[in-house]
Amino acid sequence: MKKMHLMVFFALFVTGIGSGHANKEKEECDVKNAVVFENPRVFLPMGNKPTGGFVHIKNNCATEVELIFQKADGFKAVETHITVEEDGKMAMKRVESFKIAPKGALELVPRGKHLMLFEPTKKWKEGDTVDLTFTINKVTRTVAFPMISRMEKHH
Amino acid sequence: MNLVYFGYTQCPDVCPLTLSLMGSVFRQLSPEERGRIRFIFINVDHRHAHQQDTAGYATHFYPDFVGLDGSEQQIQEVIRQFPASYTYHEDPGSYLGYSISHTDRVFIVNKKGVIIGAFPGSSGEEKQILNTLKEYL
Repeated sequence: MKKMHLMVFFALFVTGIGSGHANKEKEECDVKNAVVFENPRVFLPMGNKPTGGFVHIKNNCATEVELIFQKADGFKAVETHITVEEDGKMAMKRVESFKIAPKGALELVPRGKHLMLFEPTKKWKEGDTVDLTFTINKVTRTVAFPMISRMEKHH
Repeated sequence: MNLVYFGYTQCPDVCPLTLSLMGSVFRQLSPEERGRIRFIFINVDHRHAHQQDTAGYATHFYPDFVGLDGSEQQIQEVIRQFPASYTYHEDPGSYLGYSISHTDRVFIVNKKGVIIGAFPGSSGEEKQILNTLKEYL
């Protein structure tokens, strides 16, 4: 009987440690390092016209993360948009945030989900970097997005 | 031969994609071929066109591109001759306050003003467009 009690206690102890570890991972995912930005870029704006920002974002956390873009240095505003086809026309929908599934990825691309940057407040040139500030699950982070020529893709 | 595309200059995604694609296509045409084709960008944003440099916007992508804008009536008169349309969407929460959904196709119009073909705009394939244009020339 004593042996059985010990086994039950041991089983509970082990399970407890396991779930505690999982919960800890969920609660304490280091979004500053576990959310990885690859190939960030912004197309060089034409005069004061809006331009687009693109990036591949990998979420290595075991939980969903939510990104809310706050500001883009050198621009008056930044918004998150999705380009969709509706009734044979291309339309842009503004969204408040982008969510990335646990261990998932988000691709911001032309003709898809993307960033929209309005009214440059300085003269930009190719090779400059735009500091984009956003929150990931309410943790503030800034990533440098290099400025590239829009023509580059077709040259 | 004219190539006609409807869009707006505040559009940050499909319009500049289409115009940069067409700019690249034009750079690959011979001078003789380029002399026989004109690309016309029509800015459907008649509510704000007076604040915008439509011609300058078009030439940013290729020096010979033509950018046109006009009143609502003028835009309507032109666009109704094409299988194309546009719709304003108010968005008070956004920085611009509006967006415009629009047809994303490039129409091929012959010297007589007849639409003889069309191809995708922002989703177009450069080589395919080049081949299409060479067929029509």
